[in-house]
Amino acid sequence: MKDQELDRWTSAWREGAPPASDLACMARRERRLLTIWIAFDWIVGAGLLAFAAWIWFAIGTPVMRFAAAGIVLLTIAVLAFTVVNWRGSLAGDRASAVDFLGLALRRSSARLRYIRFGWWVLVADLVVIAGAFALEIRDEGMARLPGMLAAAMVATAVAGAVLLWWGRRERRRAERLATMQQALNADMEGGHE
Amino acid sequence: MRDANRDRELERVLKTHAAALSRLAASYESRPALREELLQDIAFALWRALPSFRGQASEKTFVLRIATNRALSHIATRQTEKGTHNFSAAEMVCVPSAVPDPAPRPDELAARMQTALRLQQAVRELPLALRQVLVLAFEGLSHDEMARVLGLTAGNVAVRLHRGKGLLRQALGETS
Repeated sequence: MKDQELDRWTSAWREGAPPASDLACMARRERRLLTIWIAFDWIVGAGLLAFAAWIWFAIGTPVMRFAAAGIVLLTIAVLAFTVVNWRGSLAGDRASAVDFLGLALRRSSARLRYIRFGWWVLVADLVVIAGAFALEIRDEGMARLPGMLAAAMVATAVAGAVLLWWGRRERRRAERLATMQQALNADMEGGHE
Repeated sequence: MRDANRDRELERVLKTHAAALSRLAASYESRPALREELLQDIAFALWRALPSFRGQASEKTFVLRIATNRALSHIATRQTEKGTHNFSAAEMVCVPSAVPDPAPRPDELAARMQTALRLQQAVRELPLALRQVLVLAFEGLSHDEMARVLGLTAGNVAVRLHRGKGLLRQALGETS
């Protein structure tokens, strides 16, 4: 049976579209940005590993080797996350909307777990820093301590601020995804495929 | 698929479905800058997904499925940001293939754009579940195709379409 009302709305709907820039150009720009972003992660990671190697071999004190090992471990953890994050960021686009939402929620939960893990890493980092300070005081005295303390405080504050911002953003996203899923499921009659 | 081929294919797909994608994006995001961002996300997601398109569904269904999913993701990220923007008729672009009269009078064209605009604004106000179905219906998908895009049964699509039409009628001040 012909639905005249729907046909009338459909033809009105298709008569106008808000203007869009060149979409192919947009896709190219997004690809370039993503490539630069991923390359930036790897360049920074490689720089940090090189810095850690330099500390280990050129300075070589127990405190600095301790710090170098910490830098290597954290850099590897962050790079591994970068790989997993980008690989999964567009996964599920070809799924149906219901499956896509489920996947987005699972990915959001995984990111929240990762952020919570980040807080534990930060705490572990503070323990490592405290250990490094103890070694420094025992071997070298208090002379360099104020500078080291200031650097450690700045680094810890920046890492904490990033984790706080990211955690809040991710929690809001997870809440919205859950609300959306609830709204879509609440309206469902006859189940879904 | 090699990148050069994929680029050419993407350009063709985007050219074919540009107006549909623009309308779909506008039905989820009213702010021009964020709508552009959503369109960019959609275009990039299409570029990523193109090699996996084997023709199991129509190209339009494939494109709209990816666009709908990207729109959901966009809502999850951007929904709470403040600010709305409703397009004016002057900002709307007339879609040539949808206008049967090759040279409509300017006042006729303006009236059509106004109608399209009003419809678009009314659709944007609908609950998400109903909006999804109506937008896909306006873009010409069958009940089965909509069911595949949304992961619902055809029966559920029909129920939502019925409810959506009712709410849209109310919003437009029309009677059945």
